Amino acid sequence: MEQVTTVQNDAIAAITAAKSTEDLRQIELEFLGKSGKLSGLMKGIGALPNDQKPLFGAAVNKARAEVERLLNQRTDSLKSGELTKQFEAEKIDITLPGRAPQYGREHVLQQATNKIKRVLGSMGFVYAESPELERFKYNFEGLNYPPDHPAMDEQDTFYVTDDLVLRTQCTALQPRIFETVEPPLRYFTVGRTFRNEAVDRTHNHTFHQVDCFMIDKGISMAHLKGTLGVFARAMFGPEVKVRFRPDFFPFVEPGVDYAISTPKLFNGKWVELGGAGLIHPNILERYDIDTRVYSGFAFGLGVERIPMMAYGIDDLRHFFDNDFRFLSQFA
Amino acid sequence: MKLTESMIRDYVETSLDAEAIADLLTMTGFELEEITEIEGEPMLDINIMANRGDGASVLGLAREILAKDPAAKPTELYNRAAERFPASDEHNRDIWAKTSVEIQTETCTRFACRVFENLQNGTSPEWLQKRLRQIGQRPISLLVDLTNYVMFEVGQPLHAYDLDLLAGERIIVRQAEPGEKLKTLDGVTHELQPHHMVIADAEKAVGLAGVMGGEETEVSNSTTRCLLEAAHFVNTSVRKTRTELGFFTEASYRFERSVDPEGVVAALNRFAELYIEITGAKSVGGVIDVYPTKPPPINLILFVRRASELLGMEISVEQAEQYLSKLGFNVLGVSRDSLEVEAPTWRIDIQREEDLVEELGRVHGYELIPEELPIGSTPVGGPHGFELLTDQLREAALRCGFNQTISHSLRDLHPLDAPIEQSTGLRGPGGDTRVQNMSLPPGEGFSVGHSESMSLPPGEGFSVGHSESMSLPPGEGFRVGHSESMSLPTGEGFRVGSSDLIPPLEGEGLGRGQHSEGRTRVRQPHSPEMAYLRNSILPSLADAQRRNNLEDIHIFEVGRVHTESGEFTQLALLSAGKFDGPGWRPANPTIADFFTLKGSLESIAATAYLPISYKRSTTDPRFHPTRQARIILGQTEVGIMGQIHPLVAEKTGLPSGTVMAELTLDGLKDEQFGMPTYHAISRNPASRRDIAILIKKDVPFSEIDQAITQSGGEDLEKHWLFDVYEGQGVPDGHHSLAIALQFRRMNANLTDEESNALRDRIVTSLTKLGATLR
Repeated sequence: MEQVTTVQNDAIAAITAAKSTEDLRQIELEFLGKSGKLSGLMKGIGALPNDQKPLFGAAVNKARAEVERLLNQRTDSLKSGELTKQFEAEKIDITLPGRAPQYGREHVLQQATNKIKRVLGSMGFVYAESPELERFKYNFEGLNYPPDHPAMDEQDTFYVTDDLVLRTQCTALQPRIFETVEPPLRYFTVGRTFRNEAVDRTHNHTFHQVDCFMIDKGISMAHLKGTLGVFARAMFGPEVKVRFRPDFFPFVEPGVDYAISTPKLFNGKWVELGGAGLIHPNILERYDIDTRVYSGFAFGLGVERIPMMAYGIDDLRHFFDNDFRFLSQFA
Repeated sequence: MKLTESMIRDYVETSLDAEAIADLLTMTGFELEEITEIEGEPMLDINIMANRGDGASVLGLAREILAKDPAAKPTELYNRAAERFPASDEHNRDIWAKTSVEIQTETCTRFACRVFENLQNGTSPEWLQKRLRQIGQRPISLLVDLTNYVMFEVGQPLHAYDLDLLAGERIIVRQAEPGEKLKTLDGVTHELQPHHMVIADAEKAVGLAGVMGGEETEVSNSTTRCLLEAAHFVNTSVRKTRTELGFFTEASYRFERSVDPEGVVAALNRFAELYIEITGAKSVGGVIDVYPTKPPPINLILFVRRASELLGMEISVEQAEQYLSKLGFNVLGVSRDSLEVEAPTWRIDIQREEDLVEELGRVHGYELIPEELPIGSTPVGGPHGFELLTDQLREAALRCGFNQTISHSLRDLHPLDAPIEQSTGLRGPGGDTRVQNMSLPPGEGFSVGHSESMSLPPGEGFSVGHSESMSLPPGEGFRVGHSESMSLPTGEGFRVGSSDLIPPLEGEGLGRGQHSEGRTRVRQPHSPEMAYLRNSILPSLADAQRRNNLEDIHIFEVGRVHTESGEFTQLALLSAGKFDGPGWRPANPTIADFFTLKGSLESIAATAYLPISYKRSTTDPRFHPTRQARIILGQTEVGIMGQIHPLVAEKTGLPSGTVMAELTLDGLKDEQFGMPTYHAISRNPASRRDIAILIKKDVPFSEIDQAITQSGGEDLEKHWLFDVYEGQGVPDGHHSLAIALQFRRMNANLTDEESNALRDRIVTSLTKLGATLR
């Protein structure tokens, strides 16, 4: 019995003296392992008288439980200290710069285009495209331009031949659709337009336009205003109001320009966004659409204007220059 | 059009201040450009729409204010202007004795004049001078100032001639003689052509009709007899003359937008009235009025119900009648739901009923239109088909780490322009493998020659020459389309646009006329930097690299390119240098090369489930001749990829390791792609066996790949190349390939022996290609 007490005391002394969890693992092996000192005591049990055997066994088990308890206690206490040390050693400077995974950045005009496509697409307008190099008849003639209209001058329009121009407006999609699709119809496009002019901060010979239009029974200026209202609020925020002002474009009658106002932009000042109106009956008649049954609206706007307004960009040339110092500002 | 507040108040009584008047005009369509205070008074600058010449006058704008502001009242002056300044004229019979007028051209539709005698020209009274100064006109002399002032008041340009200086005291309106000369009031001498219209006397041109008078016959302080002209000219003729000769005058500004043909004599009368008022002259001479072609009246019927429906707001017949009357329409009849009206002579923009609808909307107020959403047939919106596919591919390129650029379609020539096949003149971008005689853009002074003559980097084992897989049947040209049998007539354009909805360009001969050296050129570019339409996006990407001057750059663009065959949508990528950003603990950086680009292309194609493959190529002069490949999607050759040719890299300043690809997407329009294939997943464990083989470098990996796939059978789940080694221990002309094989069987475990047997079967198949196991 004294043996048990001695071994137990040795173990307790070792545990108390242990300096690390590694020491404790050694102590555990030394005393509690298969051939450890405490376990070894059980080998002597056979030599004892029968009546002593249960008492000895119980004493060993009790000592064992006590050593285990102390081991665990000591392990917990040493471990927390060791972790503290480890953490101190593994300390990093969290202000060091991050290493970003490389991903492709979308051009700021693409970001605006995506938003436009999402909004108009969700309103049931089908996205379509038409050529940049467009036939005269779709760019001008089919859009009710009178012969000799100033917009057709070579100074203003890029001609490739008498019959082929770089489209001056994405509205050129309209006659192409009217030629092939029976109403009712709803379409929109986003694309490049070209004007033969010198380039400066506020002018570029190429820029992007949205053109959106629909034809159905009983389409009115109220439907145009409602659609523009939903579109403008989706693009610029829920407080946006839409205003119409009379304006002249050959392909609409009545023709308006539309402006938006929101407290978030320019202190609520009216900002013109683009032209709109009911599709000119001359155009509908040209494409055999019965104006007694059908009417339609159309509106357009410049894509560059949207990020220019939203971010205060003051130079139109940035959009085609592909300078990463500019593009990387718009994630 | 400039006018002061007091000029407006001469014509309208209104409680509105200048700013409120400007707002009101803006909302009628006459937009305020700016309002400034000049000599103590607000001056309004108003933008006049191209079809509303009537607005370029105080009278016209006053009319708009009166229609729009119910509280405004016309002044006595306005009423007399509306009646066209009636003047009793006892001298009418005498005037033909003094002068004669003859119109010899159809582009002059009316010419009237009034003669003034016993004149005292001199300076204008201060009120007149002040008003002219305020609206930006320099006071010159009474006669000149009055012509200007009356033009601003009523919109009719006037011109005063010194009658004593008019040869024969005659006026002839005619087309100019070829080479006829005229010195205009600004001192510039013009050489005229027969399509220029002039006012002439018996001998010579004395004025450019509708634009500017001549210097020789202008009035001066010694003028005692004056002929005052008021005429009406066809607007397109005036516009053409003034743009050709580089003029911008207040007169041409008005004639281009149209002037009221019925206001001609009224302006002469208003001039006389003011002249008498200012000088106290007792009487002035009579009027000659030559008016050969009076325009027919435009009578229209307006259904007010329909107008309300189109505007989306309710307008009554009474309101409609009132609005149109105030705008000067003559109401000929009123019924329960319609009006019959005659359009005013100053409104050439009114041609049909819808034009009246706009008038009602303008006056009633567009602000009263409610917001409504259209109901009825609503399609599934957004992009579909080809446009959707293009979006998917563009987004996939972003995910692959490429930055998007957007560059001009118009540009100058560049060494990376797509080569042009001169033999047939028909070539899609990156499309035809039979490219012969290709040359770089003219004027570049740079030639890379044919593939056969190109020297190879030493030690490279590629064979030079045409690959057997590269030839198309002769005469077939560029195949863009869904099936082998589809052939395109020469010169037919391709559709760019939404699936079946956009009609093709009808074989309209895109190849005819506008091309020089196979390139599309614009006729009168503003500068040579925008003379050509790009036939490849690669030059734009090269420009972007140069602009940013980055060694590590990965960029792409999706856009249109223009070739003799038509307009195409192209995806182009350019990649050079490290993929990782400039970090502070650089790991082993991935460097762009042929295979990173190939991998990116495969990832991009995979997002749309497009089957992509390659054919070796040697012939595109922009690319390294032994490091280039044609790209095949489905059955269609769509483009080319590879490393830049070292000489092109030198020429363009691009890094020599730059890799590039261009793909024409139009061929995918009619392909049926885009569906994933589902395979059931086995629950049983996989086993892996790695092999290393020695094989000649000129055995293409694609053959090895194919042999493994075939011999591996169903139990080969996947395999991949994980090392390529050459050097010590590897014989010359050979390399060692390490390939991982992963086996897995559906619903059964593979034993070690079975896996080994599978591996051996694969090794045997590779041995047939000349491989030996290391």
